[in-house]
Amino acid sequence: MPKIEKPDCINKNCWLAKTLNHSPYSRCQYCELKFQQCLFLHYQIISLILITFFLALFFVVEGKISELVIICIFTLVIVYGYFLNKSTDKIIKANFAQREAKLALEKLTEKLEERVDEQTKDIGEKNKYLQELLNMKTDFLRVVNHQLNTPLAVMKGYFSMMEEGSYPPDKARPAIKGGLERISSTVSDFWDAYELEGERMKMEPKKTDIAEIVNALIAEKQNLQLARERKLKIEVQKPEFEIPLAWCDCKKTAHVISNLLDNAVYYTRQGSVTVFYELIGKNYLKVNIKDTGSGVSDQDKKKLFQKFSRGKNATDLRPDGSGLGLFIAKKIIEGNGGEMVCVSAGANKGSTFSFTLPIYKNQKSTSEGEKPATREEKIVIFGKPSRQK
Amino acid sequence: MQQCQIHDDSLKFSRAAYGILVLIAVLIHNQWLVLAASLLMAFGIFSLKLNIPYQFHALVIKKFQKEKLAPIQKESAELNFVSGMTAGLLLVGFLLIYFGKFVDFAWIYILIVDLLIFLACFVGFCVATLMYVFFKKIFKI
Repeated sequence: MPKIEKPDCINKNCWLAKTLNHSPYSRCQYCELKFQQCLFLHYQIISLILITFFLALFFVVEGKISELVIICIFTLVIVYGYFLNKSTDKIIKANFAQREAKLALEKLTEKLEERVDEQTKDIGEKNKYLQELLNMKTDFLRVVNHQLNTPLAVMKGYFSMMEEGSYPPDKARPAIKGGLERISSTVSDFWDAYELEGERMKMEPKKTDIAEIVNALIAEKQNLQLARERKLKIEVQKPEFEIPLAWCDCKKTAHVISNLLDNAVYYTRQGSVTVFYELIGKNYLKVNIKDTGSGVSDQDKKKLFQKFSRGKNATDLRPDGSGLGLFIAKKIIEGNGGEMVCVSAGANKGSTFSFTLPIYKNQKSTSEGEKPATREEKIVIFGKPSRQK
Repeated sequence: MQQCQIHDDSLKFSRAAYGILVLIAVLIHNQWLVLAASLLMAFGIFSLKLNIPYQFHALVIKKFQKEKLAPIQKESAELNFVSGMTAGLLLVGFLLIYFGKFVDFAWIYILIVDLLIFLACFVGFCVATLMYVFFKKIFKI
């Protein structure tokens, strides 16, 4: 029999144990039966009745009760009682062990079910992740095929024509140069994405005049051929407050703003592109780039900042996009202690891309200066209802 | 009700000792032995410490035992009642013999009480305990 722990409690079902306030026999600690169902009680009552009956019978038949008869009757009762007592002990303890084992088994089954559920959930999540990776790989191959093959095919065409002598080299040179630049830019984007994903890209924050960068870029984008063709109004809204200096990597932030402005120009057929500023508390400057372009659908919003992801409208308006620009921009902003979001009412309803940057407050370097905002702080920044314009 | 820890094997030993003493008394028809057993039991009414066979087993014999059983819990009042009841029943038997009334019946009666003591000792079936429980229930103690 397995070794069982003494439960050391009173059987609440047993009237006798409850009345005595302790277990009358040691086995009663393992018992859950009612007093009336107790095998030993049945034995006691029947024994008493039988002893009385036989003694009375002998007295009636024989006219007296001999000592021998009494000794015989009691010897039988005591011997049977002794073995019954032992058997009852074993039966009750075995029942208890069985109950305990059943409970343990039930508990184990419950735990096992929980574990299976957990594992199933885990496998589901991993499967989802793998599916995402697979999609990313497909997107990557699509981009590589398009971004690298297209200019290569164009260059190959020009070279063939030059070899045949049907096209003058002087005329072909700019097209070939353009193709090489496109390949170089794509490879550079890939490299940036690789570095930013593993947080290998080092940010070199310093005092940065965002307004100056924006103004310079606005002038540059106004001269873009596409902007001129579409007669886009590209402007900066002057805020009521003095635009503070930001603490960020100047070159990379300029790259981000340029990228966002390029996107705004590419995806806006008509209307305007406006840059405006906000102050988020005392610590953050928010830069918003608003356009009246193709907007972002709810479905596209989910994967807007993912690598190689491109919206449905995006492919129509800019077929040569790599799908890495926003991913790189978001990573750079996050690397500078800010956060980037996109707000759009839906497809063809325009969009506003906003990002925050920490305001310069005598920071010395990333390691010595103020620590970058944590994820929670960043969420609060964009969650604030009242914003100081 | 006040509870106390007792050694079950010592209690069984004391019951066996009383049972044997009374059985000898019945076999040799010596009423003084019955009185002696009754008086020894009567001491147990006041305290378990005065139960001589119990103390002998608990203090002496148990020392030589290899396997020591854990004490069990009992109500002091129950133990006192059982001692008092048994002592009282034996005393009645003794008085009947002493005064020469129903002497044959008295010896049979003492034999029955003695066998009930053995029943409690070997089987754990104590009629006095059952009576105590019923009294407790009836008088709602």
